[in-house]
Amino acid sequence: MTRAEILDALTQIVSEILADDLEGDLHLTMETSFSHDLELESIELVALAEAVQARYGAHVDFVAWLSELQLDQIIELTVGDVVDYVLRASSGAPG
Amino acid sequence: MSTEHDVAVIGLGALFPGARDVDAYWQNIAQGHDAITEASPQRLDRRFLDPDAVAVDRLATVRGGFVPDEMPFDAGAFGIMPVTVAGSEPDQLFALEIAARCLDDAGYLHRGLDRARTAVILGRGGYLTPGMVRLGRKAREGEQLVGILQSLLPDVGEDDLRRVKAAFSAAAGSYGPDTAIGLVPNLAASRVANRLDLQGPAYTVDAACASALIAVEHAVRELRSGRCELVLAGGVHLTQDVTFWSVFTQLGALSRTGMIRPLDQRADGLLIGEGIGILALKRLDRALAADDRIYAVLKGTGSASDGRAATVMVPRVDGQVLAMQRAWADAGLDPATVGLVEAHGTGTPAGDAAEIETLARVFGRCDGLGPLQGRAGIGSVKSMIGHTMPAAGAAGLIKAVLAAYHGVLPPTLHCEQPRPLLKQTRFAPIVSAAPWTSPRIAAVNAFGFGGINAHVVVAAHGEPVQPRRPSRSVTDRADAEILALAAADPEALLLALDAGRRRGGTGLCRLALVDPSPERLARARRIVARGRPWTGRGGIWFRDGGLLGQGGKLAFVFPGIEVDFSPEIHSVAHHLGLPAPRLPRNSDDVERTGIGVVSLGRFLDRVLTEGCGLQPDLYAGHSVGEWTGMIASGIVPGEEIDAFLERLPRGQLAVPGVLFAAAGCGVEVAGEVIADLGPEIAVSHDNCPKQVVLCGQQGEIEIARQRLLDRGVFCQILPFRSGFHSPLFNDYVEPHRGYAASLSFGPARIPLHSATTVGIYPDDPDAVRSLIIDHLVQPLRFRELIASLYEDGVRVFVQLGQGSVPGFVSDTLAGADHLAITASDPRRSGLAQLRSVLLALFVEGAEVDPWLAVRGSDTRVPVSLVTPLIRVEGSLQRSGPGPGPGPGLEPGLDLDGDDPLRVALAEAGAELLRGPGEVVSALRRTQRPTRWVHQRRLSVIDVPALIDHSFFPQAPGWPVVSDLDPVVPMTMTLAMLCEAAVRARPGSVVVEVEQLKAMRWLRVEPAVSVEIVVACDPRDPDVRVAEVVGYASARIRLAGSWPDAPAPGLEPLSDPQPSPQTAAQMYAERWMFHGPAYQGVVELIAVDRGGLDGRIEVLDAPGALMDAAGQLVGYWLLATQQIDQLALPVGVERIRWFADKPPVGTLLDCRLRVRALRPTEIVADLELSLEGRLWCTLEAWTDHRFTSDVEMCRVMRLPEHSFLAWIDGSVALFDEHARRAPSRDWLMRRYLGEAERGAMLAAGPRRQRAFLDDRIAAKDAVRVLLAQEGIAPVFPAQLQLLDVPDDPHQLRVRSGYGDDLQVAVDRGEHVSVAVARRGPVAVALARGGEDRAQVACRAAGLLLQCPAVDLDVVEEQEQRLRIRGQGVDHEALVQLQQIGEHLVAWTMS
Repeated sequence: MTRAEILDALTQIVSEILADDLEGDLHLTMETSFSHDLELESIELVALAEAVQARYGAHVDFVAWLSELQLDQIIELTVGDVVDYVLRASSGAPG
Repeated sequence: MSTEHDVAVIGLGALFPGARDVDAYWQNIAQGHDAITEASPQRLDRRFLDPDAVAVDRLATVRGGFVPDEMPFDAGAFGIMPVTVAGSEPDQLFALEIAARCLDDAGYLHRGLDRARTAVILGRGGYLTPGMVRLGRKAREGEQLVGILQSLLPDVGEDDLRRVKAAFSAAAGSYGPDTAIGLVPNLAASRVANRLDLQGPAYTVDAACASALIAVEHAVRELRSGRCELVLAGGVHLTQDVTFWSVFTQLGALSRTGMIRPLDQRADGLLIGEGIGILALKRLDRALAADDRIYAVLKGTGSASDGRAATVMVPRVDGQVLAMQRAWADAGLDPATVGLVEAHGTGTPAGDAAEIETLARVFGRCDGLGPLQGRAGIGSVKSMIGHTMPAAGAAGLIKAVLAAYHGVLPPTLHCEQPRPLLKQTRFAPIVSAAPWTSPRIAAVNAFGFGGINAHVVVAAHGEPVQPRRPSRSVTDRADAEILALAAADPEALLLALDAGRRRGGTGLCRLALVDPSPERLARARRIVARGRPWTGRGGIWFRDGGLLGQGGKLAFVFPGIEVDFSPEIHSVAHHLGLPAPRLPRNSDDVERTGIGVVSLGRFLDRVLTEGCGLQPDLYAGHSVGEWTGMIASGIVPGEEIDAFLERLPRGQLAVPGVLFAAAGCGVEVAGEVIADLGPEIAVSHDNCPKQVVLCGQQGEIEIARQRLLDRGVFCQILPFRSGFHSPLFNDYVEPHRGYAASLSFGPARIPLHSATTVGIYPDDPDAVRSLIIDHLVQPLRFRELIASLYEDGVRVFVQLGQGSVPGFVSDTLAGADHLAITASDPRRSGLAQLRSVLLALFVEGAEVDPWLAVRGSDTRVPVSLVTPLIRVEGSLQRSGPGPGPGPGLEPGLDLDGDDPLRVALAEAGAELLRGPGEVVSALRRTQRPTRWVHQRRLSVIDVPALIDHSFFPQAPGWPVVSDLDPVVPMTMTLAMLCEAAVRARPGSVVVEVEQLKAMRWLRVEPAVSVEIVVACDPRDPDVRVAEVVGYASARIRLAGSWPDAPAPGLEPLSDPQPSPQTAAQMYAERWMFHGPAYQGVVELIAVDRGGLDGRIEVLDAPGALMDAAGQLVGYWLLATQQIDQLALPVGVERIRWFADKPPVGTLLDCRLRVRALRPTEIVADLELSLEGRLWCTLEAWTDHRFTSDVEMCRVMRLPEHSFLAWIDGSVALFDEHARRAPSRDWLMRRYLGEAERGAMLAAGPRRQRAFLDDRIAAKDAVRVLLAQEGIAPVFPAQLQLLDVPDDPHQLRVRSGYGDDLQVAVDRGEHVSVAVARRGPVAVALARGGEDRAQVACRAAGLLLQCPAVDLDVVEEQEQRLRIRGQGVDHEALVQLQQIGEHLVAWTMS
């Protein structure tokens, strides 16, 4: 699993959450911020967490990881943070 | 060095190629953005381009660094008259804007500035700026042109020459005393001081390309000496005139390859840039004391001249070295500590070579000739934006300051092959941005022509600061333009977009967006083409069929306390002129934050209602937000809640050991998780399907949290503690009970819905008190509340505060059409977010003007930097020198390409293609009339008084507004036009209106949206051409004050007679249709054949005062004429005012003199005076007269007592030709109700006449019968007649007058006849050739429903015939009646 693959998967998940079906309209990069750039509501972030977890299985306990974050960390969360976490978690490194 | 010596940079402002602000400037620098482009043809005409240029008017390249050709300038924000902007020098306006932004960045624009000790020192050259070019054309070149024409073509007449000059001069733009003062060069600084009210010294300095750094050096001296507290210092260069470019081409300094490569060995010259850079400077000790943000510290400055060098144009190393040594000595630092040099780096071989040699001498070589402490970075921002001349030092200094501030070594461009000599210095060009570790000390060079050298040493202050997050989202940008368009459907919307429209239109297919750039418009187009709603992502909104426009309700929802509370409200408060409440900052203190949440909610409620004219259908609140809701809805006075919150001691709302935890699940899962945990934990908030909040003791909360995480459910402990909305608060509720008892409650003005009861707040004060307590201890049922509001029709939810309400709403209503948006967002300024709210609500069909939230939307004027060659088109209409054209002169002035005249004119800087006439020039751009567009919704809801301006009076209390036909009086349209014109020039008053024209009725039922467009008259700066598009227009003259009133001019009446009616009778008897709000005539003093004297009262209703004057015109017709008395105003030639509108209740004398009475119109002059002094004169007030006779008039005004048909006994006969009626439309509106009018219009044009005539006859027949039965007078619209299926000769009366009431009708050419009876009835109108017996039989046949041929007359007594069928025993008694030329038969039984 490469970073690019995870980024693609995240793009798909986010576009489902946003119901953003303008062809090719959504460009996520590692720097894209969920709060600032995508303007995701906190509720939508939780939906994102569940979708990520559903996709990568129980060992990627993204929900628990997110639950541990401080609120300001959640506000600053970027796509790159999530890609890194998924990569770490799926390679067995401690989250 | 001491902090008294050091100078802190505390604010920055920048406008450079590719960057409208400092954040964009730094982002461009850090990313190595190349902002060099080709000049637009308007800036530099391509005819000047010649790569092998040798001629003085030929340029080697047209590439350079350019700011946009045209930029908006918010004249209103600086108190500058928009009309003077076009003639001003652009660099003054933008220097003012950038200085203000710089001061704002420093935090001193609105507060705390020691104005008496604030100075402005700007570097600026004396070059040909756009304003000077325009002045030159005006003041000299016109004469030059005429002089050449005259000498080359002696036969051209004086008139022609005058016209040539006038045309040239007109194309050169407007110019007057107010613009003259604006062209004095030092005003670039003085205007800043003037408009920002700064009283320290303000001046410009000119040291060529070193100007800005010399200005900074002056500033540093002012600050160190203590004479100034703050100095705005920098440089200004906004000109790209061909003369300036010519100089650099002639000097061989301009790059022929069109590349600027500072320090690179391939460099062949510079490229010219432009821009403005300003720094706010303050002594470091003072800045530290004031806790200012410090970007960096200026440690030292130095300057020197080259002295007696070989030539003033060749840079000399010695002078540069001296300046730098002086600066480092001033800084008290070792030059070896430098980490970054911002080189002057013009990219000219001689200049770069000299500078590198200087650097080697000052900082040492790495070839062993001097000390070396590692390599340092070098670069020049000129590689990105070109050489910005007097502003260059500011461009470089701002770059160095930000590099130190952010700890980044920024890249320089096009230096892939550095000059060999550079390798021998300590410096290497920075290829890409790199972290800058200490010491962060930078040095900036600026060397000017003539040998003036300046150097500044900059040091970082404190740790590197991350760059401000550049506003990646366009919705953050406070100064972005917007687009808001309405259309009937997506296709029409796309057409409007294609046509380049930005606002206006009608319909419920709407698009709105922030920053309508080409790329974003393309995206919007795709969204529109797709047709599906788009609700704000990326600052775009679209919906075909806005939710509010289709009847959806609007809810204002106040949020509760949330963790992130950092609202910015000052931008909104300042913009709308509302007081800003004091808000606490982010705090863990629940009580303090609670006060902030309530204050913010109340403020935003005022912003949206008072500030933007919105009204919610209802309020709701989340937690503490329900208290805000109680205030907003009027249930409890705001002061009482304020007092309560102020008295709340810290910790009052806390419950020891109790925590909140947010869980990403619904109530079911949460309920399962805590089912066995006992009473110490509960669900306190049911926010939405994906979020609940648990409230409980720490132990229970921890257990629940672990269980949730085990199930894969997000769960987070919240930082604030309270037991709100849970039984755990039960023991703490007592003080609140006492408090609730002390509050006074009233009924809600606007309903408030409770999340505790999921219902409306009660009216009964005791019930409210008990609900307040329940609210504290019972769970919030927010999810249910939102669902129930949706059931109730609410479709749009606006959160008045910060928080998660939009998220809760959207989760609860997922899949259902709705909009949820917040009015405050921690991510952006209050004004930027308000703009989003207004755009979103506009798209949902709200009647709101999104430009309300755009700064300077009314006063933002485009400022053009271009001065293209004047082109004079059209042909010379020669007047000739004398009696005839001279020999050899053709009428058209055809000149060959190399004709000496053409050459001479080209040299004069003008191009005469065909001769003058009407000037059509590209220069129009600079004097394009400015337009303002307003939207206004009109209806009897929006303007209730309009119900009193209804054409067709109906029965008292008649509920169908369209039957009354309320219409906007022409005089209210006039008021709207004047208002719009004044809005476009605040502070002015309307002194004169010319050519007011009403084009058609402006009906307001159903509600209508009109567009009001105001445009400047290019010929007269004081005149606005205003139009209510499609309805009315006028020319409006504005002035600063009213002119003196002349003496009254209208003659006294020659034969004054008392008026036939009093004013009271005039209204009571409905001679005028006006209701109370428009009954302004209080006295009819006297009347004669030539006019009328009266007295009118100033009323409040829009347009009522002037309308009353107009009523006198209508009344004069009624009082003196026999026919065509119905009249309505269509225009006024000229209205002049001499004083402000008198207060409501004032009585004005009004003289009316008829100027002309024609068959179709009456023209009158009027004078309105107050205590003998003229207040207003109206010349040529014109009413159109409508065809009508006395009966028609009576039916119009007293329809319940009159009939349009001839009445003969029971028979009503309506003959269209026998009535003088204005139009069928008038008859229709007078006689038919709304449903009938719909049926008539649906019937198609061929059937409409019969449909209407039948009903007029039938209604009159019924009303005659009802009158005979003693029933009170009935208005025609009160009787609704229905067709009887398959029987064209019968109509049915809808309800109310007895089931047995029947109406029979028959018709001939343009005649209808009707009879109404209790019981069956039939009527027949004799047709050509029908005799008595035949028509009687036909009537009987209609009654007996058998063919007339089967019937015979069995008995005849005068006009009464008994008729019986062959072989049947049915019979009918038929009455014959001759009415005029018509024979009518109708059945009596």
